[in-house]
Amino acid sequence: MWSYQKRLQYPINIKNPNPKLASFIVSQYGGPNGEANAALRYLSQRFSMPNDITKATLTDVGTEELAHLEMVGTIIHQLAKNATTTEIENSPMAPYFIDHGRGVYAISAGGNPQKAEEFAVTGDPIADLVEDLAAEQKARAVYDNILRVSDDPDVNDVIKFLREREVVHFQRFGEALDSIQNKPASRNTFYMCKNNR
Amino acid sequence: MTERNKLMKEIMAYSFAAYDWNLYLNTHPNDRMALMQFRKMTEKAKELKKEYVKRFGPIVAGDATDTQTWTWVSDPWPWNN
Repeated sequence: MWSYQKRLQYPINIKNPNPKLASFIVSQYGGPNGEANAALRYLSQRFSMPNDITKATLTDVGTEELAHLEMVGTIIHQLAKNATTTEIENSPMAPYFIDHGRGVYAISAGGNPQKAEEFAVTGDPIADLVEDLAAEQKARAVYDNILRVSDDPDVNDVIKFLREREVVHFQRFGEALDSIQNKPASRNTFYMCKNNR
Repeated sequence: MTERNKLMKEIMAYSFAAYDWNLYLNTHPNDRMALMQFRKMTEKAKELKKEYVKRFGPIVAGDATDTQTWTWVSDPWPWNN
């Protein structure tokens, strides 16, 4: 289960409204490589993990992704809330605004609503962890793209923090994968275990 | 920066440090230096949270111990600035 702490993982204080940027960054809320998909992916995959290391790593990183979802939502909220209707109308946020106003909705920058298909679960620990390594790199690449189009230092400071976390998660998932791949003689050899056939 | 925000920023920093050691320890469970760092950061975060709750209000609902009113609902919420 979870309990809520009334705080962000990292401080966010954005001074200038910017609907264009909001419509780009929303992709990390509900896009294919976004934080919602990441949280659901890891928290769902952990049920079929074979050892302590993988169970703990997916639980903790999945939980952290929920905190990142809250951070990305906060960025969108703060970028959109003081934007005038005219500013929004003349920005790429206009189509989003018609359906979702200044609210925070799970959608990609290209306009596709969040898809459960994108949070992969195979029930196979190696396939899932390799998927997670790629997922972290894809999310990192999206944050790189956001940094290429954003010149707001208040936003970039937060995006750089989130980007760095993708790198750390990639490292931890690599170690978690090692813990099941490099110990073929231990009881972690799920792929030879009768129960998993 | 207000006193409240300053204290919250410190809580974020120590809690984050503790959490990052937690994540590291998941894959390095016998690293004694990391175990010590995790304990240090956790203790410090706990201490600062206690001070924050006393001065500014609850961080988790269970912190709301005011006998006159239910303070958990009060602004600011994390996304407000």
